[in-house]
Amino acid sequence: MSAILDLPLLRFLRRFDPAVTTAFACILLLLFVGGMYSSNFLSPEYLLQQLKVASFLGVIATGMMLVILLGQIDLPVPWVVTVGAMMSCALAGNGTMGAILAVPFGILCGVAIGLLNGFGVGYLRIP
Amino acid sequence: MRFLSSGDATSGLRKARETVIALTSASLATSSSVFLFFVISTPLKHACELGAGCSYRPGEAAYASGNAYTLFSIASVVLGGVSLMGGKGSAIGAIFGALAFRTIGDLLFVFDFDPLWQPLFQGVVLLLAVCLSAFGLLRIRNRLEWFG
Repeated sequence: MSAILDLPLLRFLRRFDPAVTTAFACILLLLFVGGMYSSNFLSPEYLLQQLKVASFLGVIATGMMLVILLGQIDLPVPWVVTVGAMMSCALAGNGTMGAILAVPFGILCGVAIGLLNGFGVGYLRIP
Repeated sequence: MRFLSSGDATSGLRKARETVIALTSASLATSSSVFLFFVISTPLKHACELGAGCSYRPGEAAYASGNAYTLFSIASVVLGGVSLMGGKGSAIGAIFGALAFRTIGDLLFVFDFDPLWQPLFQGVVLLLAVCLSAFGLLRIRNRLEWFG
């Protein structure tokens, strides 16, 4: 058993986080399976688009990771997304100044919701 | 993330403060991802010229797809190896999990499945990921250590 664990490849792999390595291997495997079925799956345009769409989910997942590390779950994700989009859209209509301030204002609205939420959960013991 | 992962040894007040920080930054990340989505789906200049945002496609999409994002983000966090009990995990893992999860979703389109199968398939993947992460339970002798 220990002879297997001493193989150079495994020693190389153990330098990384096992979970991250597993997820990365999953991606490679899925891309391989998809690439066998259709050649479009491995084209640079598709992979780039895939990275763009996944970055959106990845940012949400990073925030969710922070909450899950504390053993809780962040439920209001879709509503915070909606509030951020709606608020900035509403502000973007009001001239140049509104268009400049739209993005910070949307993020600020999301932060305000998170602060209220965190205050309720942390100090007022809402489950 | 060090201060967050040391949650077991901290007092109640410190934990409450950490909860506030975590939930706030989660919402910050969520709402800023909206603008990441703006930037990647339409050029920003075009989005500003549109003015009153009724014709924003990204905003509309975010509204329509609604509840899915909670499940998606939890699933990608679990796929990235973050323990649902808390205390273990990394941001890199969450990002790689998101990429893997998107690839799984797109694989269904490649294989010409009905799109209605997608939530079922993603749910099965989430189930498998949770099952795999629970394998650690078999290794430890005293189960209380897992929660301690």
